[in-house]
Amino acid sequence: MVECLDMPDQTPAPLFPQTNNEKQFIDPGRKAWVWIGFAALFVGMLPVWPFKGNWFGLPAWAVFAIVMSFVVSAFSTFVILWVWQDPIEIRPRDLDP
Amino acid sequence: MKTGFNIESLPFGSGALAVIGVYILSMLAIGGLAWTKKQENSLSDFYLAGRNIGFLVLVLTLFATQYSGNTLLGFSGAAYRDGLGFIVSTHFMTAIIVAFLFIAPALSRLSREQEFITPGDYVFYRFRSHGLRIVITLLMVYALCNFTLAQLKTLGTVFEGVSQGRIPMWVGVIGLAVIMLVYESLGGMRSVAWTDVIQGVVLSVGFLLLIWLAWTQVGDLPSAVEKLSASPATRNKVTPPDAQGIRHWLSFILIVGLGGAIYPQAIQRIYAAKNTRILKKSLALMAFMPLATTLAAIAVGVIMAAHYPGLDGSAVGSEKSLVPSETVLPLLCREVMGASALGYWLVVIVFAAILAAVMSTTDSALLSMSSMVTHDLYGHYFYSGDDQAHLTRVGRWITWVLMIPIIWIALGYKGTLIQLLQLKFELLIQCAPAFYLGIHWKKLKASTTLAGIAIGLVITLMLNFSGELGLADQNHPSVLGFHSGMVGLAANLLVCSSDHFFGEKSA
Repeated sequence: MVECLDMPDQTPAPLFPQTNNEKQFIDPGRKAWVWIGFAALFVGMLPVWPFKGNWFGLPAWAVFAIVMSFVVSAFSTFVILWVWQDPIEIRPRDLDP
Repeated sequence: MKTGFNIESLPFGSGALAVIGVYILSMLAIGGLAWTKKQENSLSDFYLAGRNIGFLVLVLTLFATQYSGNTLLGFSGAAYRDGLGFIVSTHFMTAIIVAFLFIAPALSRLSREQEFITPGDYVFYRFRSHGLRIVITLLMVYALCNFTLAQLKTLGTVFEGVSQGRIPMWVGVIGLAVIMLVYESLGGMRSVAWTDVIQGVVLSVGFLLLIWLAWTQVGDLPSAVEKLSASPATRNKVTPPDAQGIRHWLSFILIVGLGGAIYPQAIQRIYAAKNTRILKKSLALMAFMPLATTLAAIAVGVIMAAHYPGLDGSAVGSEKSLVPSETVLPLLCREVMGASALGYWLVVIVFAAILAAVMSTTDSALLSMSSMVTHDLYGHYFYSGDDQAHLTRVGRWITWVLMIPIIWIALGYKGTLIQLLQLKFELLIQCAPAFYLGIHWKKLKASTTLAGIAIGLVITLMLNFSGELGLADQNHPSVLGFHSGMVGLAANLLVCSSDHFFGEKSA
């Protein structure tokens, strides 16, 4: 049976379940400083900086771009492990023997 | 102008085929093992391994799924053509992990609460719109078909080369596709994820070997850079991009970052993680993978550009050959194979890694396609029951049926691997607002999102085919350095933002 495709829009469902732990859930996607940090780092990754010459035998601009990529990776790891908080990180069934 | 170098020209012997044969048999054995570990006959168990994937398997399946044969063959070829300018690949692969941070926390939580199977489940839960669910599902299935056919093309070419032409490409494509279908049908996501463990390990070894071989057999990177800098014809490969090139970098980072994170198979791995802690640890480790993988491919491309110039042209010669610049890796391998017996076996491992990369990416894409067609389309609009065993059986059959047209197209498609990659992202990226904005903007409505997708698609396709449609003198796949998909997405986002700034207040 094909259901009706032009079903009118309804009020969006709540994005988060209502639990006692709601206040402790921290989504880094809702932290402005996280995205400002990433934006600044991504600008840093672009080859717009006036580096001249070579570093370690490679063009300085390329080395800087790679270093910035490493910094973005490190910042991402920091955000994932320390900013993103979910009080239900381990479900009860995961603790079953 | 040199005409390129075929993989078939590499002196692979029966030993290489034996290694490949053992690898393939191991995949089938894992499929059988996964079958025995089935918990129940349900879509959740088949497509998400019962939402019980642990850390090691999750990391390696994310790695093997994200890094394909394209990374080894196509990226080294692109670095050969563009030089250090292809460092953008490191950035856009990193951008995928960053983009995950925008959606994974809320999505993983929701998926556990609501038991999502596919991205379509989230779309319907959030927007309560059948139309939007169907449109996004179809766009994602299209993107995965495109992706799968590119991988199959590589698969056939590599297998034909390793067999020295004794096994024609079409036999390789069909044969390996059947192998994948068998182990997928047996164990679903368990088979795919567990085979990804082996494939991920082989792929990791392949990347390490690649850079080590290039550095030791051909020359180091600093001397390659010096050589390229010395010649006016190749100096552009080591100088920074100009203003248009920088805009192209930014566009590439955004389109791949935003698009890669909403690949259905990536979203389903968010769903399949055993718990949030394991998901977080896996993503944290994945954040550093671009540095280990893309830089290896870039280094190989730049080193080969310095020592084997003249392969920048477009494809000429035999239909069996890749575009000449994408024969860079096979050319390196020939040098290594000829040097010693150890070199021969190292190259066999590299090609096993390529095979592993392609198969791991293809099987994930195929499984994801099957899940969306079975669950989002058949299960919701053509089947009124709720029998999970029936749906799982249908899912297995759909996996086989989907492969037929994809194989047929793959055997006749011509074009570079990188061009195929871009065409896919142009369309998939139009689904981005539904995820990135939908999760955070409660005012965003389904009708607005659909309108945004429609406008984004129209603009993207009109730009891409403007010449053929008679709208311009030539096609415009990019505008001022920005991919046509990004231009379309900009319009898409403008439409979607109207709800946020002018929409009704949320309840």
